[in-house]
Formats: sequence, structure tokens, C-alpha cells
Amino acid sequence: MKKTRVVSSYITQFGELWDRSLESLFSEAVSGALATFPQKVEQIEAVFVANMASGQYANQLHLNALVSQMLPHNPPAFRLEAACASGSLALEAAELALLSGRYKTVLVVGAEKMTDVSGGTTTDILAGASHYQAEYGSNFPALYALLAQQHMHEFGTTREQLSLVAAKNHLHAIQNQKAQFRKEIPAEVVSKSMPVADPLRLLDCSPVSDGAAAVILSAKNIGKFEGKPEIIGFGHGQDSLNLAQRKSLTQLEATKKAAALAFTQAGITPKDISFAEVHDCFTIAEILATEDLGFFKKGSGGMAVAEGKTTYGGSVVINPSGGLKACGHPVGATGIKQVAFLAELLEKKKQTQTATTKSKSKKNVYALAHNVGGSGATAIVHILKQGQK
Amino acid sequence: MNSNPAEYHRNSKEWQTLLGKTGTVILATQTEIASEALESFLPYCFLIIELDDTPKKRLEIMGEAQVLFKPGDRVSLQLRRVAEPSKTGILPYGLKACKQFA
Repeated sequence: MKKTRVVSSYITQFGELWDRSLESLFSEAVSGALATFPQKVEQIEAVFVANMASGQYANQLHLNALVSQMLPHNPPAFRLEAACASGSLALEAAELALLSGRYKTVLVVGAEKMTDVSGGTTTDILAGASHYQAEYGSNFPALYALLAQQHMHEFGTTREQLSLVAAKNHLHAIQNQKAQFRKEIPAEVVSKSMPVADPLRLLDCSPVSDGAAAVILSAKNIGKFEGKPEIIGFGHGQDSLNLAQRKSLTQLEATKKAAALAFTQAGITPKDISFAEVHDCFTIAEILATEDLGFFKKGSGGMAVAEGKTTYGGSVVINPSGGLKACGHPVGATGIKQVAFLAELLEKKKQTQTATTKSKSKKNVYALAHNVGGSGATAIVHILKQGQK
Repeated sequence: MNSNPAEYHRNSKEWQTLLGKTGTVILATQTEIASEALESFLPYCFLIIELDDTPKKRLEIMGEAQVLFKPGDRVSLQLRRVAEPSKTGILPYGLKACKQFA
């Protein structure tokens, strides 16, 4: 199979960016990715744009055209939407276009501008990612709270373990200059924060964020691209949009389907992964993800966090960027930010050759990105491999 | 919710098939946040319930406002106000789960 590589990437600052518009975020991400692209801009043959709700947040639609005009040759552009998984859906569409042979080099960019509206309005807009009629009155904290309750009931996952997820991701984010929150938040503070939807509290929730991210992917096998991180597998799973129709409320079936496809294509297993950016929109979501991706046995994800297995020195570093929880979650950008961050991390690791996780004595270094739409109706997984020259 | 008269009419057909049905709470969470149209009901519970029908059917539904639900509670589906009135003049009623007391 053809190889595709992440040949350039850029992530804007994530946060509450009152002086930035949706268009300026897109523009910065596009310019940033082009700045390190070693070929002429005209080599970019298509653009894939990710965004969830610009129509409601900014009264701006037709985003494919908005972004295409940022390139001098106005390449064909596509807009993809799958709620919080919009970014990885755009990546997947780009991958498919590259592997089909239709294009050889494409730009994938995602952005969301969320902080211009009130908290109640944002809650309403994001609820559009659930089933509007069948889940009327819900909100995403409430839906994930139901999943948390079932996990706690079946497996004994504790309130403290949820807090440890948040504390760990805030610790990771301190090293990430683009993160929204670069501040240590102890688990006890998480446990005492304001109740949102029992058992979830305010600091179990990812924030409302502005931000953008972009990557340039290429299927070209030319000298300048050799050594760049490769995407060696991707998978996409779906499940019912509303929770009540699910077979299980302690796992996200879409994640399991997506992971199985991605690992099969990549020809590796979860044990081979050193770093993973997983969709921790809520602390329970990270625990579910680490189990459903195969890093830990079902029901043991909370214990794995408590035992330090998900940070540096453990078995796999989960959310080295700080994740959605601490780096931020501008929903249309998140899936692309995950892959951009991991590609940059693999590049840095190659340069420093620093081993940061124990028992990884092999030559290849692998990373995984996991992006979820809604309460698990859509899940997309990408697996990256450190480039070898 | 139901701010559009045609949408309200469509939804009312669904109520007729479910109104008065009984069931049991499977999962319940009390939410402290809501969209602006629902803020006046806070705090309220959001539930997954299993209806007594055969075959078994699960629903997600709002609990009646300011009432605490827990798994195992018996409920019936009743017409209640489900949002603040909109400019269209429609009084936004819909189904909510109400506790059944023995």
C-alpha cells in the first residue's frame, strides 16, 4: 500500500481568544503549515476543512471556499463535519483521496471559534451532536455522566480515579506552549470542583476553546519528505447516535471498531504504541478510550491511571499534549491537532533519541490518535510511525 | 424545542404512543447546567429508562424538574412543560418521566 506522510503541521494557540475570528484562526493554521512545507504552494492539490458549527457560532458557512481562497491557486476544497470528530473525519477523507491516487498532496485544516457566545448557547449548539429528539434535555456532561455511572457500578471505578485523569493531563499540558491551561491542578481540587452532572464535576470537563490546526499530507515518495512521520493505519467506527440504543454503556463500540481497523492496517498491536492522544472530552471518556483501544483490560482503565501507567514512565503516555481536557477542545480542530501534535512529537523524539517510556527497546516508535464524535456515535483512529530515512 | 409549529405537530404524534406508559429508571444523572431554554428547570435529572412494554424498549428522557431520581425508581410518562415559551406563542409541552409512588 502507498505511504502517506505528515510533511508539515501547525497548531495555533488554544484558548479563549477574544481578539481572534474564525477566519483568522483558519488563516494562521494554513499559513503556519505552508511555512514549513518544502514545496511550492501550488503542489497542494486539494483542501479538506473540518468544523462543527460555524453556522451557529459565527454565521459563516461555505467554509471550503473560505479556506480555498487562502491559497493563491484556489484548489478544490471539501468541508467535513462529524461533531467533535470533524477533524479526524477530514483527515480520513484526505487519506482516502491520497490512497485513491486522485491527489498526491493535500492540506487538512480544522478550526472552531466557540467563545463568542454564552455558556448556555454553547451547551445548546453542542447538544446538536446528540440525537435532537431522542435525547432532548440532555447535554454532553449528562450523557457522559451516565456512562461514568455505569462504569463505576460495573467495575468499581472511583471518583478519585476520574480526578487523577484530569490532574495527569493538566500536568502534561504544562510542557505544551499551545495549551489552554498550563497549570497543575491536583486531583483533590478536581474532586471538589462544582458539580455539573453527577458524578462529573466542572474539572472533569474539557473547556470551550478557540483554536485551529493544520497538516499537509503527501503520498509523494520524494527526498524532502523522507523521514517525515508516516500514517500507517486508520479506522472509522460508528454506533447509534443516542445512548439508549447501545448494546453496552461501558464501552464505545465505535472506538473498538475503529481501533481494530487501524491496528490491522498498521500491522501492530496496542502494546507497540508509545504515545496516544485520546478523546478525553470528559475524564471518564479517557478511561473508556484506553480500555476500548486495547491499552488496558475492560474495567481497569481507572486503576491504570492511579498506578501511573498512563504517564511518562508508564506503559503508554496518554495525552502528552494535555488532551482535550487541558490543551483545549476547539471541536473542529481537535482531531487534526492530535495528529499534528503527535507528528511533531515523533519528529522531536527522532532528533533527540530520548527514550521516555520504559520497555520500548525497539527501533520504531508509534503513536495513536483517537477522536470521538458525540457520545461515541463516531470514532476515528489514526496510527503514526516515526519516519525512517 | 418545538419553537416551530410544524415540528411541534410532528412531535405530538410521538407523545400519543408513549403517554401514560410506565417503566423503570436504569441510569440517572442530575444536571446542573442546561441550554437557556431549560435553565428554569434546573436542577433536573436526565434518565435512561426501560419501559414495561414487550419487547423491552429503552428511552432517554428528562425527569420532572427539581425531582431526584435513582436507578430502580418506577416512572410514568406524562405531559409536562419542556422549555420556556418561545416567541411563536406555543406552550412547549412534551413528555417527561414522573415518579410513581407506591
